[in-house]
Amino acid sequence: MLSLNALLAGGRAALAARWIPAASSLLLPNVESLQMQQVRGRKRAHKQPLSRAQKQARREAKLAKELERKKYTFMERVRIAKMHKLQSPSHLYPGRMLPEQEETLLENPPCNVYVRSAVKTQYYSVRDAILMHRESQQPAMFNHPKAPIRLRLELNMSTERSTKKVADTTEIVPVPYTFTHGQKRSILAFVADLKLQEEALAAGAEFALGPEIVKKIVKGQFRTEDFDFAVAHTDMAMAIPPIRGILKKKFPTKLNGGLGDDIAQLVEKFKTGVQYTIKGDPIYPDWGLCDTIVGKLDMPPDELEMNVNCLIEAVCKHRNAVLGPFINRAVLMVVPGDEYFSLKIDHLLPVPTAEEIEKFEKQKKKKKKEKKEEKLLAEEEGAAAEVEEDEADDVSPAPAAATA
Amino acid sequence: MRSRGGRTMIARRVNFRVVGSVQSLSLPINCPWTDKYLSSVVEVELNTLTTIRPTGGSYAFVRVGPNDPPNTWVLQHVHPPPKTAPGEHQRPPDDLQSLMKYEVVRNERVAIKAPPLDVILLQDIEGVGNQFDVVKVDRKLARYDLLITGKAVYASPFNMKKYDELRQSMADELAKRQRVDYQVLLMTRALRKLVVPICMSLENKWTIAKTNVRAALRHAGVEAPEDAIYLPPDAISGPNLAIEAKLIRFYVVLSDQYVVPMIGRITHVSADSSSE
Repeated sequence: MLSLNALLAGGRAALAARWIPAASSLLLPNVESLQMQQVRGRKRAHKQPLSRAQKQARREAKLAKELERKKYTFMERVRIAKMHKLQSPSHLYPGRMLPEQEETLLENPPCNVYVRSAVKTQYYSVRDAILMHRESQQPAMFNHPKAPIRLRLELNMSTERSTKKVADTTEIVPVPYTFTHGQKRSILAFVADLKLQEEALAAGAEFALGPEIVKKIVKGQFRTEDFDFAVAHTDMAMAIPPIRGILKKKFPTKLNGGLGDDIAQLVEKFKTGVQYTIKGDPIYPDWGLCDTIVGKLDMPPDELEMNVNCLIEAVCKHRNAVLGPFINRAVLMVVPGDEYFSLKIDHLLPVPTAEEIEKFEKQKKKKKKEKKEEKLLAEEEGAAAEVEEDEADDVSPAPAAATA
Repeated sequence: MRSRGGRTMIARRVNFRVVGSVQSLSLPINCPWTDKYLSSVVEVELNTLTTIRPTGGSYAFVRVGPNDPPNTWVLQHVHPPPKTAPGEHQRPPDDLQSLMKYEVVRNERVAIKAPPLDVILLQDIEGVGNQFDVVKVDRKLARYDLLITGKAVYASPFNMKKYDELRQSMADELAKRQRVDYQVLLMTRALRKLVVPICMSLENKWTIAKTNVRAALRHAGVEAPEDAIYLPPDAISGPNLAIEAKLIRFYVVLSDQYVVPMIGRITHVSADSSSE
């Protein structure tokens, strides 16, 4: 007679060979579950044997962790972390003027002395703003009477199409009253005449190019990305159109003042002009900023006002006037400095003509109509498809009925 | 409600209405489980132990029906119970604790804001009005402060008549009273709290003048014209590091009427960071 131990040791094969039919596994106990291994002593939990399922689970967890680790490279992770911490540039001091935030504040100051934070945004003329800045920057106080004047424009970047926003650009505007901006500007001069080329170079152009170089630019043998702007003499006016697409915003035209007869003066204009950048906000796509230095504090206020007017006109050309004001608020500051004064610019913003408004409305209606038509078509198609399905259902029993 | 050993016992009759995917309302443990499906509107007498408690979960906005009595709470399952297939037995609700969890659905009645209340003020109250004025005030302010403390009374026809007569009899006294515009009053308080840093140059010679104080006030967020600023008669000159961070007194006059004493602190500033 076999002992139980021998039975267990021998296993099912041995038993089957003896007297238990092969098919019945019911009579045999599940050996593995009977073997209750107990781990006793220190660190029992660590020494516990793992079941197959547990081992599988651990293996899978490890794999998942590895995959997670390999998902992003180190640099990608750095970039992701930066994106999460990203602050909207529009929120940087002095922030954006939002009428909703000022609803509870007083419209007008209650008396001659008032606290700014208790009252809605007050708007000043350029002249008043300059005089106020001069009070702070006088030699007895901050001692910076020749400080650069900074104009900060808050922009509305939406366009006629909801998915498209106003494009980011960097351009130079010639201003009537120049000042030393301290920026390095590289200007290209397109001149055919050699003498005039010399003149252009003397005026400060980086390169003076003739008609032969246009071909090279088209081929790509001459880089134009490194230059801030291009000016052209009228005798080159017919030769430069091929590179319009390459130069894009830097292309000289009569409109932007880059095309003319006095090449030296042109170069001078753009060398001393105001360079501005229109940048969209990565976090709030409808917002944008334009920060420029428009003059110096010691300039006469009227001259500064002209410069500001010029700049605002140039900036407002980037968006259709029918959509509303491009500039939410214009603020005059001093570099370096905390104080800011909101400017009155309503008279400078472009007013859309009646024709333009009509055109815009027409286009809007057209689009609405098109959308409606599309919807109807889609509905019809859907209905047609349903009808087809129903017909298909009806078809199948008919032959059966016919046969029956 | 009395608390007993962590669970609450509700002694009075409260109505519960459960919304959402309801198969049944789970009943307290004492109730026998039956095959009966309970209707969606149930009156439950909760003087027994329950697991119904409002959780901090998401709220849905459901209007309390017009026929629901005022003490109705609208509940929904935190974990919707599984749907019973037709012909099958319902899963017993007290099978799982999670099936007996409910959360309170926001009662629209609670979210309605009551309109302001008409009251007659019995004294001058800042930001509200003057004595004997009939004003509309926020209900909470009226009920928790004004009416209880006797600063105001309801604008009932009787009170209106009574205080109108009283006002007429006190007309002389009221005319003598000096009243300050509330906004101006707030302004004066804000100005008195300020310590205005008066930033003067470290390099150039200076004497504190009105224009300097005006610029300093502007930097601190206060707009004031020069003729509203009054400086002490003794002129303060510098640069003098002995008076650095010292406080000076000056006065600002609001609308040629109210004199506000203000404090300034002399701060030497310089753009040159080499000498600190």
